[in-house]
Amino acid sequence: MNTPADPDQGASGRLDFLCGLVLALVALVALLWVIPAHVPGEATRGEVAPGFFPNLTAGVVLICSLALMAANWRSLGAPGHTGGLRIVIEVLGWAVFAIVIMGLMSRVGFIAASVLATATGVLVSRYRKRLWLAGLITLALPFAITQAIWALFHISLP
Amino acid sequence: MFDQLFGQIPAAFEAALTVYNLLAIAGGIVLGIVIGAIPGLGSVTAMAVLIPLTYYMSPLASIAFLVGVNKGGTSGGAIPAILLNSPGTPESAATALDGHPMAKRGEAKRALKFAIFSSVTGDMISDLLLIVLVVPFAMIALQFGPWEYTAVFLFAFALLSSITGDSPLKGTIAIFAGIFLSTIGLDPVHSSPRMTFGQINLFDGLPLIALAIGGLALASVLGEMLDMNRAGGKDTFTLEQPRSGAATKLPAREFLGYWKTILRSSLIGSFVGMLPGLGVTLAAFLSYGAARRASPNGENFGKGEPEGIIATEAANSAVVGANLVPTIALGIPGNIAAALLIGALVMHGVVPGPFMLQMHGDLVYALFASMILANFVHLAIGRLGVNVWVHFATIPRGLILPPVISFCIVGVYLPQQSLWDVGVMLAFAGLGILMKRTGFSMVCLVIGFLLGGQFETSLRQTLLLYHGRSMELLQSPVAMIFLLLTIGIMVRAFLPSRKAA
Repeated sequence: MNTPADPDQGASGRLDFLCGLVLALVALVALLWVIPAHVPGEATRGEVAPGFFPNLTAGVVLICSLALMAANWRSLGAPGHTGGLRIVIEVLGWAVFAIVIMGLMSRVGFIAASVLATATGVLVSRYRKRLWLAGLITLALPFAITQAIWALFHISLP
Repeated sequence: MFDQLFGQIPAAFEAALTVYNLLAIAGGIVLGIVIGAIPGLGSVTAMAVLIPLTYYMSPLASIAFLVGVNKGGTSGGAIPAILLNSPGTPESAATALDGHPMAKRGEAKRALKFAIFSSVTGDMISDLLLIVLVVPFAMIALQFGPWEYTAVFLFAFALLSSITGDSPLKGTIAIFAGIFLSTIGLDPVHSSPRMTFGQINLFDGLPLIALAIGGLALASVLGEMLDMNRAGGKDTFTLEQPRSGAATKLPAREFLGYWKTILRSSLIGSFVGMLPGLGVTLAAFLSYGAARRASPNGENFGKGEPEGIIATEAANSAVVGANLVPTIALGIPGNIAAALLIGALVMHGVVPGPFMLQMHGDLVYALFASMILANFVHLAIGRLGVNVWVHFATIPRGLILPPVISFCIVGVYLPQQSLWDVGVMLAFAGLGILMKRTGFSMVCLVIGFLLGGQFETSLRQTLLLYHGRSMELLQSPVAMIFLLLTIGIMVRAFLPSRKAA
């Protein structure tokens, strides 16, 4: 179940402190705004309120996040975690990619989204050996998938 | 109890022994081995990506297919471990320790045969244990009330958080974040919308399959691609080609000569598989260590000792059957593969748990029969295809990983034909990368999400039942045992970090 070793895993105490801070803020937003504003209904007699369980779980996340911050408090003065910026860039890059893919899926269709997704994947992997094969897969795969899905399930992809 | 079990066996094999079902099993095993053999993918990715194929299968064929994928994927990880010294999955890392040295001295085929034989034997022993144990477990579970279930859930969460991820604190956060996400949608009692923000797609909650495929499969593939990017796009493996000749032969007598290791490793794998949260990797390394201590050739471990391969492969495959014991008896998945199986079962209208044996007994017994048959199919396919699987292990990852994004998109889109689900998957893939990089376990989050609904129901029922008479909570010995175990696990998990601080 443990994921393979990775340079960023076992992130430094400073990064853990930051994670704890962000999670605590998210939990606070959930407890102070999201749950009160978006979980209607009071507890009726002999019943548990609909908001009880979301409040309980968000509360546990808040307490554990504060504990994570407390456990890594001393690391604040230590040198920064070099991977932090890279993590932010990777996640932001993925967010932009996901938005573009969703836009293509809804406005142009699966084939365009799939071509872009595979081509981006090849570029990100820095695969440079058999580029003709990579190009062929990038262009042919979306058509093959579309045809296969139609033949198997009679479902038309967007 | 056992009369019922033995009475069901002929009918179960009759249901399982159909061409359609056998094809589903064989297809699952082939796809599992192929995907498991590709470094960077694995049985969980294989299952997550292939679940959509089961939408239009019968419940039995779909579960048999996924069990086949899991069996094939688990043993397929040994192929790159032996030939490339690149474990396809974390659990096959110990296989590489002895498998690759064997391959380097020209015994690659022999090593692969040891791996497949051990895998199938471990799997068979674990399946038999599952069949024998699941009924008594379910009978006990039927006596459980909501309070006992709440205690069992807390125990499972504690075990899970203490094992996976960087630290128990991060594991606990991930589990409760998953449980929190499971509360989105209609309240199970009042049917009032909770945190739906007026978005009708959220009334049924977040889609489990989109969340699992995004957070586990897609995030894992993206992580691999980003790691390749950091490494400059290089696959630094050297293939040890299987040769022909005397060094390829593995007589049955020689393999069975290791019966003590096979049995010990299968039992270790089965035991670990039955406990929620303890993964395949732990089983493999525990078994490897035990075999090394017990073997007269202990000093040869790590230098190409076949017992090392047997210990690892028998144990990690034994987890596959055993993790269905808590899945079927309690509805609590032993690991993430079992969690995905639960997702597939729910999709087909079957709710795992003690009532599953009563309400869908014919399906459960037919599934057991399918698992036994799958072992024979696995042996045949694994043994005959040795030369073929090698090629899948050597396909450049830069060619094989990018198309997985398209497969994930299609897989999530198909069941509801909803772009919303695709969006959820992409969002959770991003979250999966973030969690992986910061040492939080996505597995914990997915299992928390999966069990959140049942946990909430049990806890709310407990609060209602014992309202005003909380002292009666102490009178349930089962709940007390699980709560004490939970406290013990948490104390043990948090103690080292205190010492470190």
